[in-house]
Amino acid sequence: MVVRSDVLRSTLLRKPARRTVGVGRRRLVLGMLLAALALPGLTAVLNFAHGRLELVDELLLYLLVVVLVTLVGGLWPSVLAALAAGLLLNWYFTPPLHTWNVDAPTNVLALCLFIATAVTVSAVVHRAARAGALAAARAAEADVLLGLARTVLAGDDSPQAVLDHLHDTLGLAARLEERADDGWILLASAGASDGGATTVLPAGATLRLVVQVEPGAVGDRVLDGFAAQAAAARVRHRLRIQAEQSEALSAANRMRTALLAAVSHDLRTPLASVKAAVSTLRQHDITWTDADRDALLATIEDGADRLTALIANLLDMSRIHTGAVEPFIRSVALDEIVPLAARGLDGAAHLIVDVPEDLPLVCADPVLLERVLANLFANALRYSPPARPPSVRAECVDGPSTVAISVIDHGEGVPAADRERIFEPFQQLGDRRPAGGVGLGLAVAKGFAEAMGARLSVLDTDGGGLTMRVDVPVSRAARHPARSRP
Amino acid sequence: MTSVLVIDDDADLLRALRINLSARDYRVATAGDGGAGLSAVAREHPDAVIVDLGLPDMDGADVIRGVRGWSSVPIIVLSARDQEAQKVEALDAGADDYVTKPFGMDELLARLRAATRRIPASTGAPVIETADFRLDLQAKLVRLTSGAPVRLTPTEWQLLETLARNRGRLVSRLQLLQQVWGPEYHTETHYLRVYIAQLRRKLEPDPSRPRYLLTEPGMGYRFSD
Repeated sequence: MVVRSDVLRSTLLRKPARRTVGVGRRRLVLGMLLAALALPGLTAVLNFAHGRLELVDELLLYLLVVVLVTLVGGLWPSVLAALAAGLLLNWYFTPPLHTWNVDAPTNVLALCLFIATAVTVSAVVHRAARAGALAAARAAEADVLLGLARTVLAGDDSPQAVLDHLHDTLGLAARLEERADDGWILLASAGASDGGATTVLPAGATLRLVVQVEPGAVGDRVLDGFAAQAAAARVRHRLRIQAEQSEALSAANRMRTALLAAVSHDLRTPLASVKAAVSTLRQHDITWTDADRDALLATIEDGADRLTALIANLLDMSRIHTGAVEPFIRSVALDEIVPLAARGLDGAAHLIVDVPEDLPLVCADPVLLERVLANLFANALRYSPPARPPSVRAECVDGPSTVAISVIDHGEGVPAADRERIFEPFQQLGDRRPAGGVGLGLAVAKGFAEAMGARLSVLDTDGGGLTMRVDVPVSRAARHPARSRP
Repeated sequence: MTSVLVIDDDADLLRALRINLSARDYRVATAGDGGAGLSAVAREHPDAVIVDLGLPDMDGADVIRGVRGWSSVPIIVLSARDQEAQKVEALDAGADDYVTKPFGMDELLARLRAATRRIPASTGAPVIETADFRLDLQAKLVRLTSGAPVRLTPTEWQLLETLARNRGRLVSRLQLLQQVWGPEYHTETHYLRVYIAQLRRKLEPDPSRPRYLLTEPGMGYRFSD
């Protein structure tokens, strides 16, 4: 909204002395001046042309001057002008001339009617002018309030925006304050206070708007409007913050509920096979063959292993979340860690390992690094098609301050938009996920990697699939190994 | 020989179930996901289906709906989901019973037996004898073992008869309401609570710890003998 702020300001800001809407002191003087010049001038002209005009014409010409004086100077100059015009007519134009006497009764009537008409017309013209000025002031107020309403409706409805709008349109410094136990607290302010007079407006039960202007200098309606909008903006602002907070809370709550469902499912599934196998073995009405017994015992062990892995991940996750991971960083040989990490994983034999023995030592906590790699291996093995097993490759990068360990699978991959989300715990929420997937492995891997100053990132595998890359800094103590080779 | 199809994505559980059910003379078929399960139902025409809800390719409830489209084979849900809404959804989809993981094998076998038992022909004179009372469905008579007759209102009798004729099986709340009160009843589960409580007072030795008229929370009731 383009607000003609200079026009508004001049219309709205008035001196308190001119509280009533009407003509100003300047125009009063102008009116008097006009009357003092025009009436003698007209008299001189008519005197010169005397005899050629009827009294009626002279009366009308004087009336015209009085009306002009009204338009310029308002009511009081015009009343004075009407009286003066009556006297001038009596002295110069009604016989007997140059006396205060009037011989013809009709002329007496004409003079009286002239004064009455002149005063009445002046009053009407004056009132019309006054109404016009009032309407202009109201229109200006309405413009300001409309501009304010638009600003607020356009979405910028903080208390600060309301005060800024007040400052921009009226050029007034203002501040919004809230009642506190001991005085007032400043909530927002616009413009610099010059220490002059202020107008204080209540805004709602606990707020007030303090405007740097003399009381009464600006229409009450305008400042009341600003005060009400500022108070409403404050309430809306607070509501919006609360709504955002509660939205965040309920999102967190949904997340927690989903997480709980996922954890309970993942704990129950291996428990179910353990319990099914155990309760089968405890049924004595059937004699189990040795093969059956072995298979059932293997089921129990599998389930116990899966529970162990899940619980380890859950505990790791809570250590990461509570910041309880304290890495013990030292120089580590990758070719010793990688086989440890792969040990015990389903299908670990298929993993293609390309970790040269002559790589420099890296700075890492060997236990954490092993857990990071084990989780990445498990993830890659789970998502790889049987025909194309995953591989792990380590190489120096950044010449050579870093060793990059890439765990490469040829599975279906993850869309770029979901890349960051795969590191959130239980990303595969619910219980529909590939067998054995618990949704915690990558979250733990990322948490541990970051805890020891390594970086875990996701890349595309050439030809499809996902590559998880861990960047570990090279150990400065032993950039080139003095390790004895067997 | 009764044939059972087990649809579950957990290979360990399939192995344990296969061993146990085979030893008990069930013919066992297994499927690792919903699609394989549906085609196995069509191919094998099993006498009962045990289905997990969390399958890798589709939801178990959709498998149930798919089977119910053309078959009335008894379906038992075997799932780690334990929320009431999830149970109700599976039962409404057409499952006959619901067992929560982890479960005892004895319980699953009992549910399986109940689901595959043929409903006694109405011409027979089914008499259910328990340690505490004798129920004659033909004569519509109930006597405590002491010989004292138990007086039941018509509604109480209908409720008891419905449960007894499905002895061992889960009867859903909806099924009970519609069979006893009429097809326009859906949500008046408080009727059930009131009448079941009355039946327990009349039949159970300890009404607060029922042995025969069991509540399956969120799902329905079961007559156990």
